[in-house]
Amino acid sequence: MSAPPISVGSARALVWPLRDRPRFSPLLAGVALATAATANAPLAYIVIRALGAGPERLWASIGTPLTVGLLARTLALVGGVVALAVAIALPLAWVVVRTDLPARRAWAVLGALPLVFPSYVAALALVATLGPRGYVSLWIEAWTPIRIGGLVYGYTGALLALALFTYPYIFLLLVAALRDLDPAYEESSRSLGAGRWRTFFGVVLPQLRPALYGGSLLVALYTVSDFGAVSILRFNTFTLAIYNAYRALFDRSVAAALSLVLIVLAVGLIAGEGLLARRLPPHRLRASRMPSRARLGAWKWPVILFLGALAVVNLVLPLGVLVFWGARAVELGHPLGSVWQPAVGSLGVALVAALVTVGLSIPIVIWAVRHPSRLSRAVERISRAGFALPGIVIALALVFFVTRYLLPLYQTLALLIVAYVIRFLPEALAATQAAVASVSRRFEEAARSLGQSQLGTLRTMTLPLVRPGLLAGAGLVFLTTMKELPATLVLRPTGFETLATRIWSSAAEGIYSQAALPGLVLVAVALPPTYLLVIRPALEDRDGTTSRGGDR
Amino acid sequence: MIGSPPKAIDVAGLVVYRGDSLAVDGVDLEIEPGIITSIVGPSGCGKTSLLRAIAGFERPAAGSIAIDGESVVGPDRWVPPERRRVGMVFQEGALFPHLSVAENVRYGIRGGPESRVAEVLGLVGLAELGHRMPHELSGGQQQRVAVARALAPSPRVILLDEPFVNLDATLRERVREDVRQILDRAGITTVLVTHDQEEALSVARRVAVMDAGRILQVDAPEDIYLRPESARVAEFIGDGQLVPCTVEGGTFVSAFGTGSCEGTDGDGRLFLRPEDLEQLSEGRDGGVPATIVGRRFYGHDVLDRVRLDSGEEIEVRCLSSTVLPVESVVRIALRRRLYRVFS
Repeated sequence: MSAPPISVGSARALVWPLRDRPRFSPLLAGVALATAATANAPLAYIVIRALGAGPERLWASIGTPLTVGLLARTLALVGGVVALAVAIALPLAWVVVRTDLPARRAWAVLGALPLVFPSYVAALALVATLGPRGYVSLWIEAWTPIRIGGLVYGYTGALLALALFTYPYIFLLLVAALRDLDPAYEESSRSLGAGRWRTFFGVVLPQLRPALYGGSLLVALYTVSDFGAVSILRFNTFTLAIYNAYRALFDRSVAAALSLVLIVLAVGLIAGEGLLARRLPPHRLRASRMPSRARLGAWKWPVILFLGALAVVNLVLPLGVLVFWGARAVELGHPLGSVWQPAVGSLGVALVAALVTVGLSIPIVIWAVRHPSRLSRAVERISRAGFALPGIVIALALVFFVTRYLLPLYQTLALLIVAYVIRFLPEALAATQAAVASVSRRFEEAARSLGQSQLGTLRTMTLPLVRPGLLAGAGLVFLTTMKELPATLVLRPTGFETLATRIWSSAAEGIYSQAALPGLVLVAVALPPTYLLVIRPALEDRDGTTSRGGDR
Repeated sequence: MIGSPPKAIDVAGLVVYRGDSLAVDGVDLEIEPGIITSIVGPSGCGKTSLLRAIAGFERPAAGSIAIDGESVVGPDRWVPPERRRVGMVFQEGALFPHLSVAENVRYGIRGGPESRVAEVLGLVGLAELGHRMPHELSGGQQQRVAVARALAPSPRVILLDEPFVNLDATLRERVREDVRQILDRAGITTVLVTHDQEEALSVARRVAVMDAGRILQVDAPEDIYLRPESARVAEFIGDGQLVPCTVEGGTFVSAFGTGSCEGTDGDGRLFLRPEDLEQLSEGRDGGVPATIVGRRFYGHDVLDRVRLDSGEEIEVRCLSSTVLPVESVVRIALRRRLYRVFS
């Protein structure tokens, strides 16, 4: 458009919103592009390194029995964890949503709470109770000839530590799906002559598939990228092998090749879920009223026993281990102050990572949502690369990259923050996108028509309206950064410790008393955001009220 | 009851609680076989709870229900929904979204003849759409498939729970008429629950008016409209207003005129619908003088609000071709022979 013919105030005001409406601030676009490029740098670097060595070298590094074994173990672990997690989450979700179980809400919260324990704390609890010198093992061995001490190491231990503490990802999605499923489906099925079982498997379960697939994907990705549990429980998967290759050999090509296989595995999982989900019919019905609840009757006590046993295993046990060893540590005269330094380290990096990540997500989201174009949407999509990148892979890629090109950054907190941003940008993007999408653009248009510039509108209108959503996103990034282990372990400057690295190194050496206090602090810090940002929103309706029936 | 043929549905002394509140408060209701009966009432009157109790989705606190003479609910008697042979059609059809139209219909007749699927789909005029998925159908088609699915296992009765409420106004009337004809042709006992009085009156051969958990009146639609048994029924069905009057020996006296009535002597309330009054044209005697103070124009007819000199107001329905300008002074008169007066 040409310049306005008259530059008198009122006439200008009529002309200019039209003139610059389609353009997005070049400054913000630059920030968004740089963020997206950084988010994809590790991926690009790994691919270039792995392929750059030539196909023979690449094949020589990955086409070995070692890789095949790693792949088999990793896939077996993923399959086992997902299957066990579904087996726990599905009945759990059903009893807390669709039965007359007493104190359903409390059981639902208890069922989701194991999320506060990172995998390395779960592994620590497992070793400290069921390991060779664990309390439960010693007790059993004192009274019976059964020897169970060795069982926790290897596949069984990794399976338990991961499945028992990650099933809440599936559980929370299933709770929402079951609650939103219109009871008319089940009632139609019953009226058509189908009993409870046929109704569940023929009508209910097929409609839970989106939640099952989505939750299983989260659990599967968690499992392939987990380092804490498999390293403590000595089950050699890709992450552990990559770490060992990096530590022992400093062999870049082997580590890069293994990383590439791990990325392909993660991308394959995501693509597989996408394929399954695409074949699902679109959903239209939303529950308009509460379902009638099945009567547990005589099943009430067995169900409560199952729920109670589960809570003992994945809540009471880990917490008990931490408290017991924490008390021992105090008794033994460990200085309480020793937990201070890693706590400050954790809180500091998590806070900075949360602010930076959410801050960087804003231009990307606003560009994609408010000025949709092929470019802006592509930038938004590729910025989510971290979803498929295990922390150990991001960390190694960054180490290789900066030691070669940007040595001053090596072993700095800044590099650690970059790794967190790449890893957790998808979480921040999701939260920011939900927040921005919920604000009608009419508000922004009103601000523009009242004379605000584009950046002024962002500052005075959009940001205040999306602030609660941004805070939630920051809280999530804070929470996951606090618990992050492998990238922190590889990238931290010498002497810098977080709660996660302290717990892991103590647990790996079997010194539980040193792991307990940081563990307790970590759980205490993680508890409020886990409940407020993850558990409570999932257990409530989309409109924010706890499930209650409509009037009829 | 010996000797009389069993009712299609026989509800006696039914009490249903929804949570802590009483939804159905001692209902007795007999549903005639082979016709459509509607249950109409304001939202929250308990009509849906009553329907769901018949289907087996609510457990009554007291009372009994028999279908075709077989007890399904009673003291020490509970038949689960899947063994009641009762077809149910929900608000939005509730077609299983992961199954095709034909698979939806087949769901209730597992092991039955394949020809039955084509038969009922033909009955609702959708024989060609068996391979479609539910989300590929329009709202009206979905509702017809839902009816076909409910009919497929040859149930003893069909229950419809506000089945047209989510269709837009223009579509609603057509789908309603389609479904009425399908069910009429099938000759199946049908109970339709609705809050829409026009729907209740136009679709059903018998209408049950429900309020606050109780059945107020069960009658043919024209009797419900013209001869309501209580002021509550009169007020709920159609427009109209209650005006004070005095009755003596079958004649009432009111501000709007006098006439014959059913009702006991003394002070009462006369129920007047807008079409019970008329504006007298020039040159006709009688009537009461009044001023037109407001108007709602509907096209084919007009609702005029008129005010008497004494200050009382009432609505009068007139043909749009004969109306006078607002603020004109007219004379209004009662035009029916017999009126209802409630004490």
